[in-house]
Amino acid sequence: MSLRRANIILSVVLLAFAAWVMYLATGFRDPRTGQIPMALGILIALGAVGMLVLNLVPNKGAAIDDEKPYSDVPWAKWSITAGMLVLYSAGLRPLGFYESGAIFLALISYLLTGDKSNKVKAIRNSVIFGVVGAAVLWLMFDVVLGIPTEKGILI
Amino acid sequence: MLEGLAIGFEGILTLEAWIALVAGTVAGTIIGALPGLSAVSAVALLLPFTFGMGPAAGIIMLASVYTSAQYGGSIPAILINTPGTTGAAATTFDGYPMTLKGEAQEALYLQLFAGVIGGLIGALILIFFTPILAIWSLRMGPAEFFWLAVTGLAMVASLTGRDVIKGLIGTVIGVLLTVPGQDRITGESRFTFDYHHLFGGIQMVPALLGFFAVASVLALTEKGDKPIADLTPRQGVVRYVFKRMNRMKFLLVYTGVLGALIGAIPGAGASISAFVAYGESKRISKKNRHEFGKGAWEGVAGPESANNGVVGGSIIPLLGLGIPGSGSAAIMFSALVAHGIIPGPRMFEDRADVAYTVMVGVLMTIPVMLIFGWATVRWSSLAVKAPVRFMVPAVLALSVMGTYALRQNVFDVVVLIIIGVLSFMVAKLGVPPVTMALGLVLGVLLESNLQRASIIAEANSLGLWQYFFSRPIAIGFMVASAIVLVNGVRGLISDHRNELQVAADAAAEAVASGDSSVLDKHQKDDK
Repeated sequence: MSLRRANIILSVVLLAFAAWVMYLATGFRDPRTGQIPMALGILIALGAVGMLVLNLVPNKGAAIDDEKPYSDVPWAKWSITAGMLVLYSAGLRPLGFYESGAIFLALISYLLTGDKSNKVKAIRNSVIFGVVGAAVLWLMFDVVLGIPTEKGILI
Repeated sequence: MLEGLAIGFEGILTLEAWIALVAGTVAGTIIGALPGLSAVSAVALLLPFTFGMGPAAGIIMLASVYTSAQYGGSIPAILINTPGTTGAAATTFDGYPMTLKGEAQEALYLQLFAGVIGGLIGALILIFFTPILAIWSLRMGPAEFFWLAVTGLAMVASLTGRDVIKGLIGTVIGVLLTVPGQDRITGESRFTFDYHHLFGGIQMVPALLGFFAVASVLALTEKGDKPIADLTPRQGVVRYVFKRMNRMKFLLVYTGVLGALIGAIPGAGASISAFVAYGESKRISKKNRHEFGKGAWEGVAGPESANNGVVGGSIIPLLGLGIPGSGSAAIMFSALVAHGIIPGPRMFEDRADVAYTVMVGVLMTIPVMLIFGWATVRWSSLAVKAPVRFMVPAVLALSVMGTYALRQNVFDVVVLIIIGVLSFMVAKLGVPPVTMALGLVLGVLLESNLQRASIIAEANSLGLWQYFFSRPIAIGFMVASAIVLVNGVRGLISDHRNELQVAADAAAEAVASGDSSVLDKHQKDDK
């Protein structure tokens, strides 16, 4: 997707978002409660309109068609990393803080390992990293600082 | 005064005080460097240890934790674009680009030495100007706070790149993130959608970690399995840093004083002072302003000097008036009360030994921080050599941990992830995360003080602007915000002209040499 097209989509999304913010800002008993949200909604709408106009007028906008902002993103790795982060947060309570941390560290480390020609070695290194990393977190937060965390299966 | 200082130095010359000082500095640096654990968390975590100490040693320990946590928070900001404390957010703007350029050690030494200068200035201002500044800080009302926030927001033109509209939108979205929750004045629920986790609003720490830590490590997945950056420190790196710092003497002193003055304002805080100092650094560094955001040394030195100058400043209202001006100062207040000492002007008569020992303790923390920091720079800078497969999961796990540790709330972790992912997406389109962070930091100050100011104006039968113009310090901030804004816009225009000039020169050169590929490239850049 070109930067120009992405800017146009962002402008439309922001316009819709601004309209929603302004609509919500009108529904308060005390008008002072909605003052700032209304002002912010207006500013977002103005900015979005400005961006839309700049990108719809050919050769006048800052963006050019052959600039591709997302072309370098490795979407598979990126999505799995973001998805694992969501699963990690969901696993904090049922699995425990450090247990879910160890699994998360090991899986992401394996995912991002560049050279997987020796799979056994890559898996072993990732598992060691996960276990050692979780142990360091436990030592730092639980033992030294005494910060309460979710108890899990092992710790 | 001199007699008081003699008492203070006498108070600190005990083994207990020195153990407190050294232990507090080491602990504060480490806790501050952990993402999510702010200086306030560091002081709070160490509070129970002070109950078994004498009052002076206990407060010295907390002051040293506070000072060194401010320093420690900037280490991950420089190395991995993850501010350990909110005050370190402004250091990421140029600290991380320095790391990417292979100048991690230079940046860490610069951060340390600038922090030492700022810390010394803050401590000296605390020692010599507490009575004057304590009274001055009481004159800060809602009008002044509102215009202080506007001054900070006016810096958006300095922080944004060529695309001012996107910078503006980023700032507005940052302010909007402070809206959900109960209105601080009217008490009405806003944008909570009856979801109880939103009643308390969006916490600043997960949002900031989302903007910086999560977004930047997600971007690291593009690098493949390589180290974040090269680590190629110069020969005689410390001497080189001193040489460069010699050219920024005025900047270092100015931003240190600025940090201490903003710190002395109850409720202002380190993050605001660091943002303001960043804007001022860019304004002052006219020759080097195009380097800002790309690894400008001044962009690290200014915010760091201010970030550490804040500590001495924020203790001024505590000792001078008995008003804790920040979260950390509030914990120190409670520690003093636990020892049967009521902070305030009478403390200098009733317990002058403790009051002056605290002041001297803040001063003496600085050399201890310098020694500890100097000894550890080489080791901490090695973090940039860690490959992406270790760095990405480690930073994400630390961010989740630090966020969860705040309130033991999974909702905060969800906020961290959502903001991180969205921030990554929009940063790719040119909306700078720093502008969103700026809006987030200043949003609460802006709105609550605007509402308070309008209530006061109404009660005095004045229009809001009439009320603003009746407050001399507010007028001063108005003028400052106008100067910051005009300078920022002028800078943008001059940067744009420079870029056009460079492109035109290169195109002319290409025409002269007959190299059509270079010409094509510049024509494309011009578009």
